[in-house]
Amino acid sequence: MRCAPLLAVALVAAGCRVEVGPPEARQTAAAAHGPSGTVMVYTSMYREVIDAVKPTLAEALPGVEVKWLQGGSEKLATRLDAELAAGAPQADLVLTSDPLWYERLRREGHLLPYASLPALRLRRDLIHPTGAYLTSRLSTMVIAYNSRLVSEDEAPRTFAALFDDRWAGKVTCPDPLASGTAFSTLAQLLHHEGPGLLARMKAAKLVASGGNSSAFTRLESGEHQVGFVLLENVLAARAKGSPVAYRIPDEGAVPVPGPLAILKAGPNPEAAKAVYDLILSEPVQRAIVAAHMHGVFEDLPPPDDAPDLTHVLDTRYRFTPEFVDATVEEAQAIRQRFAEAMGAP
Amino acid sequence: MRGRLARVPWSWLLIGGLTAGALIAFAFAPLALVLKEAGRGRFQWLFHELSEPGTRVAFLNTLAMSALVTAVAVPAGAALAWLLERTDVFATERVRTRFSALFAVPLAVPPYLLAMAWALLGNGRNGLLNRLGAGAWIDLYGLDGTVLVLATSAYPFVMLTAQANLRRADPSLEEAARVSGAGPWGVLKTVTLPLMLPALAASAGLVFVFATAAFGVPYLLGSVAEPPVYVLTTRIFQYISLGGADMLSRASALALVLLSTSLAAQSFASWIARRRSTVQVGGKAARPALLRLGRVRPFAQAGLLVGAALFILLPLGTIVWTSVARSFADPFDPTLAHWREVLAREETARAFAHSVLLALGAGALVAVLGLVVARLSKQFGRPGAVLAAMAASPYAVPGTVLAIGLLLAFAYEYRLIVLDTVTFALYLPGTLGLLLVAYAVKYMAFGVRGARAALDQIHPSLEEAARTSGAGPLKSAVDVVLPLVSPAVGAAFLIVALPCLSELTMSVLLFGAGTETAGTLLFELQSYADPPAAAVVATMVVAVAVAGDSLARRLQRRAEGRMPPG
Repeated sequence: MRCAPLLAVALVAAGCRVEVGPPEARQTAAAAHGPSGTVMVYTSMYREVIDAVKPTLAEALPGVEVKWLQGGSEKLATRLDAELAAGAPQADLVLTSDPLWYERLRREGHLLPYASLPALRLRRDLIHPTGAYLTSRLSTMVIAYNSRLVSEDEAPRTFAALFDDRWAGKVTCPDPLASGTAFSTLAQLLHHEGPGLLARMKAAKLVASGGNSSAFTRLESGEHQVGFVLLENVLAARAKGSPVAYRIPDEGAVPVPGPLAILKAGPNPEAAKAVYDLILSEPVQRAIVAAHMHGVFEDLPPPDDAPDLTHVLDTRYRFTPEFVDATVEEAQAIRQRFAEAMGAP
Repeated sequence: MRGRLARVPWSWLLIGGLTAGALIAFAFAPLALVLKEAGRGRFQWLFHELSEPGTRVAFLNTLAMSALVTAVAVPAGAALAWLLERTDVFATERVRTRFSALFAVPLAVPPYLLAMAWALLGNGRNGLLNRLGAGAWIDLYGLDGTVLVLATSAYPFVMLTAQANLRRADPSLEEAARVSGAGPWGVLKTVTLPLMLPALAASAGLVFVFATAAFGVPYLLGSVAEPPVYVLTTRIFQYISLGGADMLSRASALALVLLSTSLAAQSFASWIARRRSTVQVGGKAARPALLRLGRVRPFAQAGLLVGAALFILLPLGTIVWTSVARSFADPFDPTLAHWREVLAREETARAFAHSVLLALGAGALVAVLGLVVARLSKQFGRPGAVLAAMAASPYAVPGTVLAIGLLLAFAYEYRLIVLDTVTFALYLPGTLGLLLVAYAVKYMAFGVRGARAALDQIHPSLEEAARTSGAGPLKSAVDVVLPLVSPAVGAAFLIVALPCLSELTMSVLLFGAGTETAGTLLFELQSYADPPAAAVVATMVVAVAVAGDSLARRLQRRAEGRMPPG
């Protein structure tokens, strides 16, 4: 008698089955033709840029709903890596700022090659030869200093000079393990200065911690006096009266590409292509420049108080295919060597 | 065993089965997906990691840090609970309640924000305290600063649990001791402390686990020290950010080490709790007569005021002040620009609405499910203990690892089709549901431990009395047990809801387009816009938390007031 309810539950359970798969709504969306449905963009672009481009996209693509998931490059990479491992990426487009991660995705065959018409306006060295990804904006790593504590004449002129004895204990940068742009910069510096630079960083008691804005905060508060941070952080803060100033090193800055790519297994690649083209349109590029980054059209004005794009790209720290090839293989070893040099057990 | 199970009513079996199923699906499967990485190649990575000297250093640092945090937070929390519940340190109930609310506030502040505030105040180079004082007299980078911040974040667990415990403990025991001639300290030593011990042991276990799993604080204060202090979680972070094929396996191997340490600490704590457990036959407690502190009273008052000023108001004040400072370069130049900027964003209100909703949902879910699991674990012996351990283990896993597990497990749509007619579809990615699952799973340990400590103190004769008077098992549980454990359940609700208001580690990996939370907003402003704007969000989180906390306390007081004494 007291077994009856249990028995009933067991009977209902026997009539159940469980299906696992992509959501049904998504399957129908993929079958439709032309740019329509929803496009999900994973991006590390600033909120102000996204807000500024929303009207442009809505006007040009009335049938497409663009959803933005905005977060840090590294968090989005961790998330998308997990989604790809599970075989069900939620994103159609990725627009973050870690060039080496895109190269890894390309090698693993996750990216959809796409020849975009507006890309003809770009310098050839900003486009990957296979068309798997291209640079849609640049975040430039420069030397920065607190102008209340360091005069313009005293400020280091090269990246290597940051690690001179006179700046020992006064130099900071973002953590290459936490920030993709910091890692790209570290890889460039080691590529050109040689592995001896790590010992000099250690001797200068370099504090490499947190993301770009943590490093910037340490400069602004005067906890540290010199370092390397992103130009866009300096420009944004200077517009509000911050005493942090910047300098383009003599050998050139490190212009870190912010790549744009379409995911092969994304839910809606057709509409993603239309959004891809629009990110290479003038209104969107102008919005990027207004947020203190460099866009990729050489004939558009640069951000206020910044050198123009040609000048920024005239540097020895270029992300050439050879450099990217060498570094993507070495990425783990570089991070490991850096962590060990800085005292990780 | 069979005989015992046969006596269990079917309703209990059904509830037990459903709870176990939910726990396996939502809590254990995601964890297992990640941890199976650690087992790849006959656990070769686990052995590899265990043989690394760096792992040993990080492990010992983790142990030292967690032990110190526990050693500071548990006595502090217990002393606060006792002072505010049992003594006349402040004459009116009102003031004592206010102070209870004040001392609970650090729970709602993300630990890493406290760490940032302390770094601003006490970094060795130009911390504000060093600028005010004579030269560099304080340097909080390193193990000492890490312990200070973690202990500040952790003592409210202890305080809230102990307060709930004291509120339901039978005061007639203490009065009996007093009448029999024991002095105030004698009562504390021989009656009150032993009464509190099980709850204290349970919360000590949780504080230890909290410290072992903490990442933000040791990263911000430990890894920039000279020499750097690494713990297991910062090492796991390094592995995950090193990238590459083996790194998830190595990180999972370390997560397994962390999990075992935590489970060992928790079992030790519950062993103590059981060995020293005290059972009471009494029903609902009346308000006890307060202990007169006498000559010690001014010192106790001064201690509370100084402690609140130094460890709560100073760092929180720094956060609030940062939100109105023009920049870190000019901390004494006030402006409302950051407030205007944050309040003008359309997603600010939405993010806060989401966070409040999620905090209430997760708090309620954990409080209810925790009680059910605790009751089941008491009923079923060994299988019950497995259930309780399963519910408690996700808390010991770093948030990032847990979030990756949830991403792996819930990337698909699950459809349950009943008899080919009704379809229930579950598709969580990018929804608030995924965040709710993450929060509830992460904090389930608090619900289970808190409820179990309270249940263990209820003598079975109370329930048996109800049963012999004709009540069914569910009715006796609801009518007799529930009122007795309600302070503990309420405390669990607060302990879970407050940190969920600003949860960050998992949220930044799991949120979706349009489901921002206060935590993701905080992270975004912190890492991209400007940190002063992040301080605005932090200030708002604290304000919401304080308001919510005092509302909850008022409701609880009213509920207690309605209940007949004795």
